[in-house]
Amino acid sequence: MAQRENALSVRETFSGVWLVAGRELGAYFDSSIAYVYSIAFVVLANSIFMNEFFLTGTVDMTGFFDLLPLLLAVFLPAITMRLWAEERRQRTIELLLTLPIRPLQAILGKYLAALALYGLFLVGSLPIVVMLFALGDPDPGLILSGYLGLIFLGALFLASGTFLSALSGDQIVAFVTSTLLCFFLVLTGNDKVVAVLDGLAPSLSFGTLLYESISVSPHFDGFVRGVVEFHSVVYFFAMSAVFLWATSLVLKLNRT
Amino acid sequence: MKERKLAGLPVLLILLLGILAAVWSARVAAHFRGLRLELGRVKLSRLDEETRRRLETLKDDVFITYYVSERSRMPSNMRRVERGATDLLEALRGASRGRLGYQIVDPGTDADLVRFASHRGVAPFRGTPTASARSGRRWGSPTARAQSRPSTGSAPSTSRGCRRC
Repeated sequence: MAQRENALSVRETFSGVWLVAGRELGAYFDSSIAYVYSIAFVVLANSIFMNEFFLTGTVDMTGFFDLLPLLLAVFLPAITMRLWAEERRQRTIELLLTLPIRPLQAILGKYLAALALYGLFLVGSLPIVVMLFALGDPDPGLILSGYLGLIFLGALFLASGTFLSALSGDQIVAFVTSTLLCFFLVLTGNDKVVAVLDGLAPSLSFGTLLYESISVSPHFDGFVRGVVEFHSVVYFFAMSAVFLWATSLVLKLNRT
Repeated sequence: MKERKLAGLPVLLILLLGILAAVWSARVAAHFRGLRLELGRVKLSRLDEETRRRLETLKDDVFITYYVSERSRMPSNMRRVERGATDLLEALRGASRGRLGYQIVDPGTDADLVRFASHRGVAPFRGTPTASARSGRRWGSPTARAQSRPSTGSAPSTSRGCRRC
């Protein structure tokens, strides 16, 4: 009986999540956000690929996957900045939180909507894959792994953006802080940045410490090389979960 | 207003603790080196039976010195060479039952090493300039050298440029 009640509550939980996700996704497409962001992202991402493709002359997407984290560090905060800040500006956050849904359902719903929009961005880069297969014999495993890495990376950036949107309550502040955080996570994996940070305090090796602990780059690099490592998957899942959990704490604080 | 700002502080502290926990769990998970999936055509950490058999029957210790420039000095399309080579070397070391060891040395850090590498025919190659390396042709030295122990005619004091010894 208790199990049956649990099963129902799980179903209810997901129905609440889908409800919020549908509403949020609809809001993206009702305004011009989804169209403008998608077109801008696809044009920029494909230009980056074409530049690398003609310079290296190899039938693979490594250069594309290398540069995309920097592009995502700007584009994904632009998706998440409005998630909670907009609700607060329009004073609909109280209404949302008094509806018979839990904060976690609202967070997951909005997060899934942002992920779906990001998925649309990635679908926009699929013509590159089709073109590569038409031109030669690329390694499908490497491409699949690279896209898997992009999904994990995007999920982390979206989770951090969701948290900062809930925390700041202002879209511009949310965008700037999320972008800075994403750049921090990406650039701490850059060799030159690591060398500079190491040079600031050679005894601490601060740059190396950041590279080996918090940076997304060593984890994302594995995916680009075609290797899906357990610790990288744990890193992306755990970091995303921490940011979403922190978002629920912020909302609970606002509720009380 | 001030109270609201202060209310965010405990959340940031809890977030910091959560991030530390996430990083720690990833580091713990990194000990399970076997838990990996290689999706590419080239499976670097999988050795064929013949290689395994040879490594298992090694009579002498083998030590490999892998010379590679640091990533920022490599052409953009070759920056992952080191990690791929390291995966392969790890796989070789794992299959050799302790008979095989390796070190990674950056020859660019020491003039003696540069001379030594050139002398051994490991001259730096010229890489194709790419978008991120447009300023000119880049030099890099990805090459490996194996020797059996005890060493004869070894490299000049590689410890200075050694990144992983």
